[in-house]
Amino acid sequence: MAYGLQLRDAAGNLTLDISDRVGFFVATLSGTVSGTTNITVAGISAATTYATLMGAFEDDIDVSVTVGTNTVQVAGTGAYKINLVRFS
Amino acid sequence: MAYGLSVTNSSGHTQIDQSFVNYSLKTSGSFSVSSLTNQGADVYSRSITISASVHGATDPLVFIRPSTLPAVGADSKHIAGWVNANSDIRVQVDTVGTYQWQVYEKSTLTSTSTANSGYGLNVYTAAGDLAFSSNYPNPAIFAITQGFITPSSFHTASVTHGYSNIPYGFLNSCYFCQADSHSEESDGEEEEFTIIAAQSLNWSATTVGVGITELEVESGNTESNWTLSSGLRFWAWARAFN
Repeated sequence: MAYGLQLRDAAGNLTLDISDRVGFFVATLSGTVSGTTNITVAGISAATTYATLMGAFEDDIDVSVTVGTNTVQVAGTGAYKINLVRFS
Repeated sequence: MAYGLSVTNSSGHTQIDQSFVNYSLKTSGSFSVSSLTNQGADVYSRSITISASVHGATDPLVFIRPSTLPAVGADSKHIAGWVNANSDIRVQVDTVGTYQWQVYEKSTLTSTSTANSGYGLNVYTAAGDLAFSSNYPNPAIFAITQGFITPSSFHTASVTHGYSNIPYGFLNSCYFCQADSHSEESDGEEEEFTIIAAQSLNWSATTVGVGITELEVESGNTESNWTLSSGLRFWAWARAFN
């Protein structure tokens, strides 16, 4: 490491280096949608925040998610659970 | 930030900030696949269910990788799957071998007793919740690829990785699939199959990316062109620390 921050755990394993990008929890959204709904989440944008749908094709999720500035748009039909993640 | 600790690296990426809750490693493990099942229509795969006990069933980030890479010029290794709301992880692979997985959860759910052991750095939010602890590894993101999927097209990108440090791929976003009906002769009789083509994480000798892989077959399913959740999505790739 040329400069900056480097952290290790008690066993000496490196857990954070100055060059790393890391993940942050933003919010979890859940509900039911029919059509399109916009959910306000302060401080998010498409550049920094990413949405993942929980569940899979066995749950037959017919929902799409779009992250915008301070908003999450959920479109489709059915129940959803969305995890919002910020990767720095 | 009104007060406290904030760390930003030379690329402008925030690493620690008392206003943000980091993800930290909750649990990890591996599984081995010694054989594949012919799902029909010459599609071979193996499904694995991982029961990862995480506190926030809707919150975990799951990363996975093969323990070895294919040789240069060989077929890529594919992993598809998803994270259920009950925290089970479903994985589908099409290559025998060993696979390693990691589950990260938000630091506010991690054990403060472990965070307070040994030495290092803890950062708390203004509410007193643990936002970061050096006793817990963070997912070290080295690349994020984005793309979009429609029923008729698939667009994304791959990135080059270091051969000696196999990246972990972010499994959470692999929830896309579509199905197409096929027919083939079996014992002299024509049989109907529905091939489910799942979005998969792909590892080649030098790159990682995302593609579509035929992984599972359902016989007698009459649904065709079944498409889920089209639209822009992303896949993150994390390096292993140790």
